[in-house]
Amino acid sequence: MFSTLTTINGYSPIKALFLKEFWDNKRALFVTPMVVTGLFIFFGLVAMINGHGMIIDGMSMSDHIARDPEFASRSTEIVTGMIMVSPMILMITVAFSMVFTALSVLFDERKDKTILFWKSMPVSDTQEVLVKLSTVIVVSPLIAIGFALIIQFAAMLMLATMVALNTDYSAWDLVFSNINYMAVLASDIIPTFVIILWTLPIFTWFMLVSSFSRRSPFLLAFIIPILIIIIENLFFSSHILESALKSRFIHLETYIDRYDADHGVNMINGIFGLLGSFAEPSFWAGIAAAALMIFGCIQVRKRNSIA
Amino acid sequence: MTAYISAKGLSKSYGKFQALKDIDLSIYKGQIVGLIGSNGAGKTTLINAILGLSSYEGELNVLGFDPHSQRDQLMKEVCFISDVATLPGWIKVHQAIEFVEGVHPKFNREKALAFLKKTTIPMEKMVRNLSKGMIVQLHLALIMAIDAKILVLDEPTLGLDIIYRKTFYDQLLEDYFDEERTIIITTHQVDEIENILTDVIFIREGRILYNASMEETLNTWKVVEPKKENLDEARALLPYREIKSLGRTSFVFKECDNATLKELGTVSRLSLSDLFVTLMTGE
Repeated sequence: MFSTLTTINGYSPIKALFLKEFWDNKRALFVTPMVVTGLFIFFGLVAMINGHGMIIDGMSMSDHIARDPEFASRSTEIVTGMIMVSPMILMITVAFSMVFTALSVLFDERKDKTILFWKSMPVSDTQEVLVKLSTVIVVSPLIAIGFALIIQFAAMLMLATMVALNTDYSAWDLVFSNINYMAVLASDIIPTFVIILWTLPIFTWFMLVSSFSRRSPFLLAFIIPILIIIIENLFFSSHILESALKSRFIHLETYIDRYDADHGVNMINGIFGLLGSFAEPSFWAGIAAAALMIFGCIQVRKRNSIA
Repeated sequence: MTAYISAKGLSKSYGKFQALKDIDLSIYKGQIVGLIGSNGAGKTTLINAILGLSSYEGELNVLGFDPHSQRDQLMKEVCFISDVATLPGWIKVHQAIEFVEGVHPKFNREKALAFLKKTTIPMEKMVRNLSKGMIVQLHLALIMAIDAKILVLDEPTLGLDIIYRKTFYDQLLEDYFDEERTIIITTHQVDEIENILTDVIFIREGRILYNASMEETLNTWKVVEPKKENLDEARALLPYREIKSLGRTSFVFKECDNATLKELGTVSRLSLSDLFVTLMTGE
């Protein structure tokens, strides 16, 4: 199955474009999450062998079980929560590599002149830009989710081993049959894409900068908005850009708080509750801004040939 | 004759600098055209306009397409090698073949593999680990496996040693060119392509300075190295240019009767590079 995905036989331009982006950005898309996953498992094993045990809310698990009379009633929530958050470092790393990919994806091809080769092929700039966007906001997180599942599987095995070795509980009762697997899967997928969609204008802004920047797109991508915010503040005493940027996170935060509150009651409901944030008008304002910037990327790429 | 490319009043400016000035041009099916000019004369600008890589003013029609707005459709019929550096360094040879097969409906994988078989290029290597000559061979193999109508080569042999340059053009003629196709070549190595061209265009400061078939060019322009006693007689025929080098004097004549010239001394054809110098320095 995997080989039909990664080999090309005959004319299939969209697949070829995606593969090209994958080959080109393999380090950011695949190698980085793979290394983080490997490190997580490695250090997890080291910690386990050293016998430090897992710490929940500042207490080791055996302390929890000994001191907390309610542990038994909350154990599904606690154990599922541990599995859910285990890929946190991975997800943060991938978020960074998504930013860097967005910043380089329309810049590097001009810098190394390969754009002339890509443009000698019968693919439109629209197709190229949309595939690049999807690589950043769909392919990269999907691969990350794949590695997140590996981390969660490893975390589950390590937890079960620890439970079996250090407590009187059976690993089956406390871990394997206790985890809300649907909630874990939902928590991998839904928050990831909800956050990406909310911050889409930021990612597309990075792509737009990488499409026109003549030198380091990284600097420009941050300097321009900072300057605009300062100028707005000083001369117009307005905060349009600042509040637009903040709104990316504030609105989402209220939904995440609600999700946390729901957590104890019904994890799945809490996670799906995040989708409610799509009803906010500022969400759609962001999507519109992102669409505009992608249109900008296409127009700029049409005109550009070399940096 | 079917015109593959026709331009009328084609212009392009970068700010105040006018890179192309009101160019009228037709390039036909079956031609191999040499586009020759000094650096900054507008060759690459003209080629970029034809390939849809830049905007322009005026009329330009390539195979019925407007290149700038319909580049993706045009590229099904047009191939180009713009510079040896354009294949990405990270791509492996077999990935490059897969990619072109994926995006180009007129690519023939077997053909490309057959071309590559004649070389020593390993399929698993990345382009950045190939020699410059190998990269050009790979690019050429990819391009020649595409059944296109127009092939544009912008300085394709830049930085290559002489053996590669020679085989590059030999291969192009033997394995690729036929009367259904048109090839446009720009290069500084004018002498190397002289004998494969059917037509030649000189371009200077954004204008077309000279545009003729090779046949016409050879018939029109002659060099005569007269015997010493005929020098004045030769000058009396109003040569286009007088060349003195290493104590010898020769004259460039335009549209002069061959028999008359033969009486003066040895008549030979004017090489393209000499014609270029003559036209650039003359007038």
